Amino acid sequence: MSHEELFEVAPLAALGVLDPALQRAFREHAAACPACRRELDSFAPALTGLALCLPSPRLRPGARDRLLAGLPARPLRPSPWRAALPVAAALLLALALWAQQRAVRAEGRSRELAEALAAEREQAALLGRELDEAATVSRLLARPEARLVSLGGQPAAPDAGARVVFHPETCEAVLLVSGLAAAPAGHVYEVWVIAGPVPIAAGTFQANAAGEARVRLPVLRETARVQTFAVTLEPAGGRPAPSGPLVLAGTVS
Amino acid sequence: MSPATEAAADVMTRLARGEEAALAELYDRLSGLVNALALRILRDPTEAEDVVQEVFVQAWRQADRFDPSRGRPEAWICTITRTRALDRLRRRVARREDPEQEAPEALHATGTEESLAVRRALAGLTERERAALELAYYEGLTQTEIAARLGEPLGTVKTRIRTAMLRLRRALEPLAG
Repeated sequence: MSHEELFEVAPLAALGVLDPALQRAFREHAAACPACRRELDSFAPALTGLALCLPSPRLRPGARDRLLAGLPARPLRPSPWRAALPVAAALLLALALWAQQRAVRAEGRSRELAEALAAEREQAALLGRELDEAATVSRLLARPEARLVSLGGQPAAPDAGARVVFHPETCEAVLLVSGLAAAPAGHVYEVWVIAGPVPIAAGTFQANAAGEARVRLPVLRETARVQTFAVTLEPAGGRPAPSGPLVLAGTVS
Repeated sequence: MSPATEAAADVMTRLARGEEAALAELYDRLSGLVNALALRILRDPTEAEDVVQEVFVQAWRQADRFDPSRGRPEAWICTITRTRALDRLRRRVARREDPEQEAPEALHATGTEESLAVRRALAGLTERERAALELAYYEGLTQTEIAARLGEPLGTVKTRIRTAMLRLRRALEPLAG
């Protein structure tokens, strides 16, 4: 079916009344078509309205307490594209463990090996994080709606440069930095998303020994209408509003 | 963003961080809505209460899936509620059980601007448009099933539902913000 025909049935898709094959076709098309997704979302208030207009009988007392008393532990819920990471990390760990166990049997140097194991674990975790961020970058870059902004080094860090890849609808964003000296002791770099009069804090980071950093920014609504991405040097832990020198800035064209 | 919208978004952020107090707040604000919708779909107060519990447990587990760019928490919670209640309704139909209990006396239909706008828009639909919309939303029937139930051609049913949805959307547009 054409885009026009699918756009036309968006109100029916929002209600979920299309026959299953067509409902599926709409879902697949909308996943890649921002106009159809917007049209679909525009019916959300109507759907909610159909519930809001109903009379609301009182719930039996005690229902709230039962709910709160019986809450299950919250599972950590990695995003789907991170699903492969635990497997990779587990494999690395298993490999490390196997190597360690062999070594223990052969040489009995348990303390040294425990340290090595800890280092392996740390390395696996680091690798996991890097994979995670790399996956976000490549996934973002693959999306035709993704946008790229260059950030220039400011007088406080003239050799630094950076880019932000972001998706204006899902508001995912990744910052890639190069040529940035490590922050002085007790300091970190802090990212700001500026979409209005007040810059919104978007996390802190450190540059590595090569002067590079890859930072996945939190999903912020402001990213949808961002005008400027900026980085400042701030005391450790970051600040709710920028207070230190500006090191990188780039305006969305 | 209005203060109410901002407060609602804040509850969802805290919920995603795993704060039980945020779940209690969300429950206080939306359990009436969840119960009303589940009861309208299932027409059985005990089953509706079970759905209320399930919906808030799911919200607790999946708060990080809520995407503020795609709508308000109410919309997200309503979608979860409708899915769960319709699942139960379909299972019941499959088992050929149909308690069809009458819903208890309507106690207090909320009088918010939004619900009044929806009621006005519904009152402005033809009886057949409203019937098609209700079979779709509250009974979860597909367009083909609705056509069969109403004894009308599929094309007519699609047009009726589409018209009804566009009117509802237009009626609520002035309140969006």
